[in-house]
Amino acid sequence: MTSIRRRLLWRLLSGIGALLLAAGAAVYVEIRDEVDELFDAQLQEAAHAFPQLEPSALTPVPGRASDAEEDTEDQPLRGLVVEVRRADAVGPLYHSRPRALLPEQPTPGWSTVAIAGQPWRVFSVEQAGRRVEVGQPLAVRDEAAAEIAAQVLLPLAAALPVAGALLWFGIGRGLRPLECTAEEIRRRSHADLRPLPRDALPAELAPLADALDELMARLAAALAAQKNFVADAAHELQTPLTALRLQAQLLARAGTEAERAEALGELRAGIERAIHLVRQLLTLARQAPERPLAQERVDLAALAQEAAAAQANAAAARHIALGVSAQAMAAVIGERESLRILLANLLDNALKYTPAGGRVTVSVAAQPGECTLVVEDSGAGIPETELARVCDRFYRIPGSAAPGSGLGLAIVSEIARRHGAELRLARSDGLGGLRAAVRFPRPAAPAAAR
Amino acid sequence: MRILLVEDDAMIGRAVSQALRGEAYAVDWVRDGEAALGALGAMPYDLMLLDLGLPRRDGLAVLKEARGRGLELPVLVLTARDAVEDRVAGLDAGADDYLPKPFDLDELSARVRALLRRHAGRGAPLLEHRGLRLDPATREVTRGGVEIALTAREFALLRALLERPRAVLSRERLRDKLYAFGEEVESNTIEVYVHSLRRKLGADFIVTVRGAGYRLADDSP
Repeated sequence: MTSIRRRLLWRLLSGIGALLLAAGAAVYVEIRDEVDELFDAQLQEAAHAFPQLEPSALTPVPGRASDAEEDTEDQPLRGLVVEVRRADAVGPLYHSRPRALLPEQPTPGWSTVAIAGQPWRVFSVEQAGRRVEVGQPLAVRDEAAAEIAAQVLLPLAAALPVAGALLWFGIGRGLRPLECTAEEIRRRSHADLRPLPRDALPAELAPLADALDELMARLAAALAAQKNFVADAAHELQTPLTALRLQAQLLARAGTEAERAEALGELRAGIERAIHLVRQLLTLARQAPERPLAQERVDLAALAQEAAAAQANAAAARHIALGVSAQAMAAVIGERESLRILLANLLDNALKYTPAGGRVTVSVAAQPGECTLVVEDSGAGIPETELARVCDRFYRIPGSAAPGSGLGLAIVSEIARRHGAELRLARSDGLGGLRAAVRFPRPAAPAAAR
Repeated sequence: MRILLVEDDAMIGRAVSQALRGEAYAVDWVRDGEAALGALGAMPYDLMLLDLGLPRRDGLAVLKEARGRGLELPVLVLTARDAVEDRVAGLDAGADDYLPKPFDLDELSARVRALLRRHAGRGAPLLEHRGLRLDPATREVTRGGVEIALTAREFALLRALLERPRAVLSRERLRDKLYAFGEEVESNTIEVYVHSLRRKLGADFIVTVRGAGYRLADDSP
């Protein structure tokens, strides 16, 4: 897990460090210029001073071996080197070092020459038949500039850890509202889905709080829907249970064998109805949106054949002509078991609301990009005004004679929705009853399967 | 006694009407609010059993409409809506009693009897006349401790007469109280039952009022 505090601190400190380095470089360049000016002035002054001296003052001529100033290769020169020559003769009149170092024929004025592999700054001037040269290694200037720059910058660099500590605590303080918000959320009960209080919230946290509020609103809506569903389901269970209770009492009251047989038949039908309702409720619960959908390659045509075969007996018993027209291959991607339930519910509905001797057809057609499943019947159909509501849970068309849970079409529409398919109910032009069409998106190529 | 049952669920409707017929009531069963109002307009019912969640016309609307028409029959509301506010709304709309689903058949019968009794202005559960005693709950008829065996129709006819001992009830009125819609009725059927009741209870127990109908004989034996 990344820490905002640590990351902020690291970024700020490296930023400050880089700034210090850049400032150091700029200071060094500036100081180096100043040092140049200063030392150049010194060189020039020294060069002009020498010709005024008496020639005798320029002894010792051939070089004086001073113990203290013994020149060694590894100890670089620090001060100025002065050499005086006659303008018309070779050989120096005077040199401040044990050996003459500066060039015999220097360029008049300023020049930079290499002496023993080191760059030197040399000023030469001719006056009164004498040529005076004053020189100095450039390294001396570099060192001086570096030293001054370091003296300016080192205290600042030393302040860096102090700045780090201050930043650490400052950021911690700045992040405290985050802690408070977390605590506020932590203290809530699972049922408390109110929006977060905004008064103490910094602007930076507002997007997060907005997103959280939105999530909680969606959660509250889902919870309310769940609660309603449970209440509706309990209410719907009252009716079959009431019937069961009455039927059981009638069975107990039955006096003759015929009455008993009839009461038993009613009781059995009541039990079947209660079981059917509970089963439909479970089916609907399994189609909950949060459950992941299996991604199988399902041939709708084959599934339609199967579903029709499963209902063939029920259709035959009521002399209903049940026909299937399905293309050889109409594959969609989805959950086989759910699609089987969808088909079974549509067929069940069609058979239930079609009078004896009627017709029910199932057809599957595959077009590029989509696949349509259609169940049509010759029943009474659904009035235009009811079409919008029949997919609601527990909704039954008022006065409808056939028994039902009021969940069949709700289950169909839920399964269709989860498959990204579109359920459309309309009047059947061919058969006069209901036409239920489910349009599935289709995989582009067989390779898209899996 | 003729009862209007208004219930949209087929299984519950079948079971309730069968149970009440077994207790010698004539039961008309309708499945939506409009049909209920139609039936109330066509027949003087002694009692209505009313489900609230009805297609076409809600039960409460049916109740208000019926009371608005001045119908005073006792109404027992049967419903799965059992929250207090629902019950209050039902009673305020003119219901006499309230029975939440799932209910018990015995309790339903007892409440039906109590409502009929209260409506007739009686407190005592037993109907008595000239030493004859009819118990609506057990459907037993006794005189001097001796049980008199009656068929369901005979019992229903006797109960109708005992409910209003001094009133003259026409043949049509009695027929309406004995037979629900759709039941086969012979034209002289009431005479047949009066005849058999006289045979079992004594010839002078039921008096024929020429051109008007029947009533019970005066209280003095």
